[in-house]
Amino acid sequence: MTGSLLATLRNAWRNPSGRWGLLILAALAAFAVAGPWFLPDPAAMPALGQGPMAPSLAHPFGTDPTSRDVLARTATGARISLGIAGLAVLLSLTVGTAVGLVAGFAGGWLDSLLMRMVDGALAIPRLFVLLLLLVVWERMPLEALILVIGLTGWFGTSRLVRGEVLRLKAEGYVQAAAALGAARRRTIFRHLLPNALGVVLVSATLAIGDVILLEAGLSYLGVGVQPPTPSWGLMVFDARNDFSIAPWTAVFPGLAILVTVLSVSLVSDALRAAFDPRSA
Amino acid sequence: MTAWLVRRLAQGAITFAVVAVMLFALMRAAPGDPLSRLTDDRPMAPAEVARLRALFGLDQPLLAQMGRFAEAAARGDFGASIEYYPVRVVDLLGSRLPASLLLGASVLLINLTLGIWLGVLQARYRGRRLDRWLTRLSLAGYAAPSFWLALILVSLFAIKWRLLPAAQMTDPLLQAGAGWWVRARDIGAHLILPTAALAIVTLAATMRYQRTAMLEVLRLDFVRAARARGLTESRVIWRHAWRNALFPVLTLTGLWLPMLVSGSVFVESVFNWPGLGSLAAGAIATRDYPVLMATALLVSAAVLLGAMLTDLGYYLLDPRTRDG
Repeated sequence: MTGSLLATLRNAWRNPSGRWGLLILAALAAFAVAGPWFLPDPAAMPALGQGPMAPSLAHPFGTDPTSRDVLARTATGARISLGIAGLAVLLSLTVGTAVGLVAGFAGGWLDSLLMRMVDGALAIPRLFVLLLLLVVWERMPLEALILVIGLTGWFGTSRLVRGEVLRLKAEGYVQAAAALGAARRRTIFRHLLPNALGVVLVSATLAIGDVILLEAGLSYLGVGVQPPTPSWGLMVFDARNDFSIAPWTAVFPGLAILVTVLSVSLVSDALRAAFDPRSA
Repeated sequence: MTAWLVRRLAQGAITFAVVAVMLFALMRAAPGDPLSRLTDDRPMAPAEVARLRALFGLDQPLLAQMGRFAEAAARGDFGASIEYYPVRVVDLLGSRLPASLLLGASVLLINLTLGIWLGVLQARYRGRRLDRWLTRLSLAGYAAPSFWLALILVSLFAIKWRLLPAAQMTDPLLQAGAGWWVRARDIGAHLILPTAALAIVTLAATMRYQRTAMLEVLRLDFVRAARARGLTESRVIWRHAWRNALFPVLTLTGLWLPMLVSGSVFVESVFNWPGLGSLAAGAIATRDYPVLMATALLVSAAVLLGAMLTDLGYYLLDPRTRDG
């Protein structure tokens, strides 16, 4: 089983789009981790009052109206945006996989109850759920924001995993395991979970892109990451009124979002094609 | 047919009830109650606070409050807006709905023409350079944050090149007595940029769906038979294959409706488009819960309705889906 998963991942790596996506993502992660060490302090305002400066050798992405370095802020923003996305998606996947496994394996009334609730939750656009929550709670610390984004993102995953479990339960080897008297725990962790992981992996990559866009949007609307913490969405929001005089202050953080989400999507595509070659 | 319809409607109604309960729970998940913000930091006599709480029914058990909320919502009564007090939320939504529908219809039109055409083109040239680049381009569109895209479009087309209006739906300087043609052209010009921004972020989904559906069909024997009969490729594609690859695209209504709604919150607020999205965005800043709540309910109802219409479409077009 693990062997076939590895083979599938190798296939995804052979896909040029997927490989590029992964390499760019790795570069972005390195930029997020190491960038702030080499770059100027993102909060420093060395030339306050001189207005925004266009990109130059000293400031490759230019400076904003308070003379803060846009590149340094983008690097710090990468930590925030990528960190939120990674942790929130990890949370969504864990909860979604657990609920999907339980619903699919147990069946009966528990399955019906869980899936009716998921149906309802999926009908409300996630942005609105989050807006209502964030408006009611007012300023949320970063940890709470991650929690809230993660806990509103598992509905789709749970349904996918449940579908996989139902499909796998009908497979010969799972039936054989049950017939041989395998314990429930063994069936779930040795047979169902590993084989449902492919679906989870594809939905994880898609979810990362969605969460990055979502966090950017929430921050743009003023209910996500709170200033002065630089998140990419917040940077675009700050720069929106200076767009015509200092376009670089908005263009670069926006491009960072675009490049990240695009790379994640390319990786997701490559994975999907590797798991299901007919769709490629 | 009737039995199926009744069952499907009942299912939709149950889901909608779940939605309403969830939204209510979300609203009340915060510490305190909706009045706390008003009363907490003020020197108010406890008796006065109690009177206010009784006035809004907040002294009732939570279940009773939910019952009242559901009963009022069923009558279409969401109370008054906080920002536009004393305008009723229903009237506010009603006045903003047409602009959103216009924008939505215009984005849908682009998706159903350009999106479907490009998707078919991709399937036809599967795996070639054209297919690969169309995938990458459309994904880049999906990956662009819609508010950022809207800002760039405004700064280029409206501010730099002065080709199109930057905001609003109509020109406030337009003569009151202008003919309908002048008015229609004015609205049309205002419609272009918001439509472009939303179309760019939604096209990827349409193209992907059409491409996948088309690939499924192109594998089938009747397509090979049509080719064997010596029909031209474009006739095979459009007259034979495409017709059979059309209705998986129905599923898209359910898929892109939420996307369109979320996108329009950002795009409408950048363009100051007088629709539901900019209303919701404005309601965030003023903490206008009744408006946010009603918008969320309305949008969820639209999503459920879209899903139901999709199922109905399948039911009518594909008898195989009728059992179950």
